[in-house]
Amino acid sequence: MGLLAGVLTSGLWLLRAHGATPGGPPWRAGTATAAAVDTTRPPLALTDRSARLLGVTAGDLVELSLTAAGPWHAFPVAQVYRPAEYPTEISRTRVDVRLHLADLQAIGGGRDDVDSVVVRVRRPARGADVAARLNALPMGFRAYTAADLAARGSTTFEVIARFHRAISVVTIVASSVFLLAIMALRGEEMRRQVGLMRLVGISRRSVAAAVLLIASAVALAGSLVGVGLGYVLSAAINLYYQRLFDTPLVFSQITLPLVAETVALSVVLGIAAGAVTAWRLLRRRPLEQLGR
Amino acid sequence: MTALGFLASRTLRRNPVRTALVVLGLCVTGALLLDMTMLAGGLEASLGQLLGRLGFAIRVVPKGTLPFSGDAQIPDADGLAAGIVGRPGVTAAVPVVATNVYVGGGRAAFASFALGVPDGGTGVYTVLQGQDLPRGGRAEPPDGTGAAVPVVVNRNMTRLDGVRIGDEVVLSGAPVPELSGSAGSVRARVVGVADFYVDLATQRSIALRTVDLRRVRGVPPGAASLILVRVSDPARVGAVVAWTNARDPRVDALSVGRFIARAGGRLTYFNQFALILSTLSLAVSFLLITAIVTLSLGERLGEIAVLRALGMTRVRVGAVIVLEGVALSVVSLPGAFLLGLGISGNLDAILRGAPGVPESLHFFTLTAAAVTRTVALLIVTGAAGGLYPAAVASRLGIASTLHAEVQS
Repeated sequence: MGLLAGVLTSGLWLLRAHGATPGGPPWRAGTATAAAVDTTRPPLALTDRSARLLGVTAGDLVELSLTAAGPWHAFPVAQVYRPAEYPTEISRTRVDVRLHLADLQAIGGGRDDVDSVVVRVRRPARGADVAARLNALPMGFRAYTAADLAARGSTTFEVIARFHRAISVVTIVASSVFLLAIMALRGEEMRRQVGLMRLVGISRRSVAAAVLLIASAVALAGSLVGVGLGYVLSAAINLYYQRLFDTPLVFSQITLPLVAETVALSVVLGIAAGAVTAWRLLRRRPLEQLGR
Repeated sequence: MTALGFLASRTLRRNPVRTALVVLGLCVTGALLLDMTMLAGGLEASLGQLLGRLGFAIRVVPKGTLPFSGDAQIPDADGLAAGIVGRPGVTAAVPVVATNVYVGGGRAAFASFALGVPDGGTGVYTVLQGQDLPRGGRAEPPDGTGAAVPVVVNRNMTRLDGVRIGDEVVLSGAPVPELSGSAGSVRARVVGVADFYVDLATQRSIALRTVDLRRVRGVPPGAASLILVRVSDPARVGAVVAWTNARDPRVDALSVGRFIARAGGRLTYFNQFALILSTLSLAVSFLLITAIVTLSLGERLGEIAVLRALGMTRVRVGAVIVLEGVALSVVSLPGAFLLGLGISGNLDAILRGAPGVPESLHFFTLTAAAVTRTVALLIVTGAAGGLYPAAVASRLGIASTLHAEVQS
């Protein structure tokens, strides 16, 4: 077994206390009479967003309670800090308060309860062994390695990514049919022209190449316009959600590999649509195409 | 109108391959539109259906919260419930304690979601096998040495832990009963298996009487997590909500509509995603119809000029073209709905794989409003898609067009 860090007793570890939706109990804030932090009371730390929501700054008093009926416990705000932003927490509009574990337990009636215990092992490579041995204990808890937790934490985003991929398949099918319909119309328009070209001796291969070239050009032009539209939409999405959630996190990102993949896929689809059109055009004889 | 419809249908049937391609494209974009319309209000609709099935018209929760969203409690829930049940039209007010307990049966103890209800027969869950909790009876909690308290478990506990009706388990506030501290532990006997409505895929749930659960978790007497209120007359919901909010400012009394609205506030991602994709699918449908109808118009300019020469007015010529766009939309509707329903099933299964989604909730819900909105939007898009070519057709000069046709 590795080393169990003094998570519960060192006093250096802070636990997050979740308050209610801003605007309602169980939190209330007031301004301290002294500008300096009251050193006789246990302190707490607030994220900058929470401080803005509550309308308090360092030195102010914040009262916490587990229930709306109290009892209320006053804490001076010792620090307002900007936390590392995590996508999993972005939609939370609740106030995030950090205080010492013992202080939080005191609010809850002094029970020695924690939500989780963080274990630091001497040899990180043996984390899985330690977790397995802890899980073998009939104590009613579940131990996870950091990798397990990361995988569990990202499950929601993997689901969303799968959802986006499924939607993209639908849009690709829709755009393929769109392209095919456009090329079918274009082929109808080219019918007489192709008949004449065949009659003056231009080979089937050249005609097919011309049709493929047209289809590829249409697909390429469309994909370039689409990429431009994508950049505009992406910027709008980032602007909107960064303001909505008051965060610098990036919600939509267009990378060069993504652009390359999109353009390549469009051109391939264009060539496929062109091939179908060329086949439909060239299966008729030249005189037939001229309406004779 | 019959003549216009005849002309429009003849035009569409003239080139069946082209029409089929356009209809196929519209089926796909229409399916996407239907799915996004279903997604936009899907969770709210699904939640509404679930709440309707439960039969409680009002939920009283600690102010600013949602049911089961945290540890906050209503301090004098029993007193408040007694006051509510005395209001006209109220048939029941059930204070419910919701918390987590450890259930020890064999080798290990498992964390379980626990519901404390005053008596059996409250309707908070539906008993599937065995019996419900007893009604009335003992008012005082057991001292731990007496008879086992009755509990009802969910199907996950029978499936995952092998718990059966008649089994005896130990409930405690800590993984090991000896660590429960001031709170206690009780012996319990499983009397029934029930459906708890909002269980997660692998969530273990257990129901027991409030007095027993308060003892296990050290919940203060009279406190509860929420109060479920059943009314006989839906028209009285507003009055009961207003009375409850006035009686205790520390609580929120939520009607089903307000509850859904508050929960819906947390679903901005899906609503906005649906809005963006709906707009895109409508734009693609519009472009598809406009492009196809406009291009096909170029092939029959002479025909339209002849119709004009025969006395057909500009308005009627334009109407034929607009009708073609509408007809394309209408013809694509059955395919769009079939495809959309098929795709939505798969998309729903993907999203329900996310952690924390109750088994009985769905992201994509087919409602009458979603169907109406999709049909209306597609038909309007069809008409809008035909407007530009209609304007082109109605402005055609008869002589010049016929002259150009003869020359070509």
